[in-house]
Amino acid sequence: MKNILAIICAAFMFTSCEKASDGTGTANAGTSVGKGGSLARFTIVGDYLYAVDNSTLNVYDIHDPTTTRIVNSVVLRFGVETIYPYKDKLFIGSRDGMYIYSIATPSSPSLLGEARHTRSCDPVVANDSVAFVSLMGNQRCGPAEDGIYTYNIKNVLTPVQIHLNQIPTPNGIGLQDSILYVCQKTNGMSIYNVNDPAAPVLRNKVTGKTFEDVICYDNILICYISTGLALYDVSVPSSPVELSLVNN
Amino acid sequence: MRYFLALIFFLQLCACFWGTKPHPGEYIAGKVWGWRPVYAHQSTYSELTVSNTARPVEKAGKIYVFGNKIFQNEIGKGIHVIDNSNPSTAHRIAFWGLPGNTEFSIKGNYLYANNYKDLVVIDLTNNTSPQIIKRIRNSFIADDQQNPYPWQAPDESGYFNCPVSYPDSIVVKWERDSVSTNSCYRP
Repeated sequence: MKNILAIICAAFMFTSCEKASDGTGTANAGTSVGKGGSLARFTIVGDYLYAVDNSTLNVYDIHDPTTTRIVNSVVLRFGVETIYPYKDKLFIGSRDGMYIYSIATPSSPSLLGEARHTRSCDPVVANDSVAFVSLMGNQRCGPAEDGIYTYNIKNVLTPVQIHLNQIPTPNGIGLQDSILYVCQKTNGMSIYNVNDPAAPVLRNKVTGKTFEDVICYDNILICYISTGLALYDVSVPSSPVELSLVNN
Repeated sequence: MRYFLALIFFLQLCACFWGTKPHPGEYIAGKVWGWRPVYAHQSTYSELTVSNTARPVEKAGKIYVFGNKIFQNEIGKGIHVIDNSNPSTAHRIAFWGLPGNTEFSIKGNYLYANNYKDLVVIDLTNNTSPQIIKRIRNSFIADDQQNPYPWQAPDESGYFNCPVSYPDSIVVKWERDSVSTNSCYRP
């Protein structure tokens, strides 16, 4: 019963780019969880903190923060770069593939499916049916061809690649409904309509900054840029309007 | 343990004097311009230093949003706190110095972060004086040569003196030095 409740809670908390549940957002609500970018290696779902440590996924019980303790350590393949929670799943990006873990039993993540790829760095975002994996090949990460790899995950046990969008230096990505924001470092930020995930349509591009990662939050796009932060109003999702710069 | 280390040290010292001269044609490790680790005792980096004034961004890191605040990592140094109650005038209001920090996540009034290898839990109930309330030592220790932690290898490629793992100290920075080509190497 507890597990089912946890799944339901997770489902409500972690839909992609949902409206922020805590509205005015005072840090008083004892159970609300914040939101990280696609490059994150820590994430909290329910009473558990999941932290990747290169080749292991450490699970900490945080139901009482003062007695935080490690409850599990799951060995992953290697070179884990990112962790992205969605409903009762964790999408783990490593240098050799994307791994989908079930956290239906929150303290015991179990491997459901995987999609191996040529070695690279790879942040992941996902919804119920599609996962977008951003692969950037370089000296450190590996030789993979730069691009956004799209997988059909309706059957999470066997993700199937349905598209490859070859664009230079994709890094962090953010998904809001049918819009995919792709940070491309010095190549700017591209905005795709992914209503048909197998045929993304470039709708807009923001240039002039070095974009690393992005969080969609209410109608605001919070961008991690090389010099700090840039905030955009995305009431019209494909047409960001710059609100402020918080940089050096 | 102490005596054991002392013995090792003594033997190494002896080796300096007793080492034999290489024979002609024998391989001799060269010296190259590389990196040497600088260690610090955990007592010097385990504190959270709170400054309720903005600090300029030097090396911007990962971002996290919680309520009307945005948090941005200053790579290896700590966390910038940004007031986002009005996104048109978002601005930095505080800096929480946490050496070695690169990752964090928040639930309720608690922030979970790495302080070098340790996981720390920070109580934000009084948001102008956050406190570390829990520490789990040596939580991040995986050794991945392709993507090492900053205390395992320097940022740049090249030769570096292999860091030694001490129970109560860690590599806090890397300095330029002449090192042997027999030492560690980062491609």
